[in-house]
Amino acid sequence: MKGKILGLSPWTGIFAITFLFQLFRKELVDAFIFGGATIVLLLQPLFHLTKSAFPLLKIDKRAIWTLISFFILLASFLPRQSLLLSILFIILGVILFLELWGVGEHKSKLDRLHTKGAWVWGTVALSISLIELSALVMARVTGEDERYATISELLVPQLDTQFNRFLFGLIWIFIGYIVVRHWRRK
Amino acid sequence: MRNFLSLMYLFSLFLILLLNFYAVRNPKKLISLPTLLSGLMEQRANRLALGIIWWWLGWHFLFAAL
Repeated sequence: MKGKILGLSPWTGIFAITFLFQLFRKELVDAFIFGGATIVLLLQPLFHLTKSAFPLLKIDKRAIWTLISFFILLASFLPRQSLLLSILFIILGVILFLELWGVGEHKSKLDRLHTKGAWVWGTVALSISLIELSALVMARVTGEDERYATISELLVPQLDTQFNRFLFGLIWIFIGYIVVRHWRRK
Repeated sequence: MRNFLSLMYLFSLFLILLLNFYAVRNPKKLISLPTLLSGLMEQRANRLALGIIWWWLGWHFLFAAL
């Protein structure tokens, strides 16, 4: 048990900080999401579920693309904060969870190139996060949201039209595809 | 300030694309972002974390109110 707790992922800390930050922003839904994420990552080393513990999703590629197209179209036409859209997102989240959790870890060590890559890409991600965080803090301190615009502040108003929502949905699904495409349960 | 921040975000996007382009052309010097993600996805914690971040981005921009 001690070893498993010591083997906690750094993501647990990142999500815990994000949870506290969302609380500070009084964004309770986001705080709930990141609080839940912290608990999931905190508990995941204690569970060693086998492939048979979760249903393996066996969906052919044509069905996946049909579902994805259907999801993007619906997400483009449904208004923000509609009940149906929230249900769609929750279903997507559950399917994603089943897909990503269900099998144990491969024990491969990162080589030098991967470690160097992780540092380079991690630095880029951290820099962008710091710019965003600075803007957010300055907006809170000065009360000038428009002047110290975050990415959300700039992007969300552009997503009021159906075409832009559709375009964003396509880009978002494409990013998800890049992240997940190399990994499938064996 | 708003324009400056917009430029910074655009520059960040450009930097990511440029770095990735460099990595694809020089795979022995730097690994591309998709290759790094593919390596990270081998561990369950990373898989979950990246999945949660991706899901939240969709939720935040398509569902949540600003």
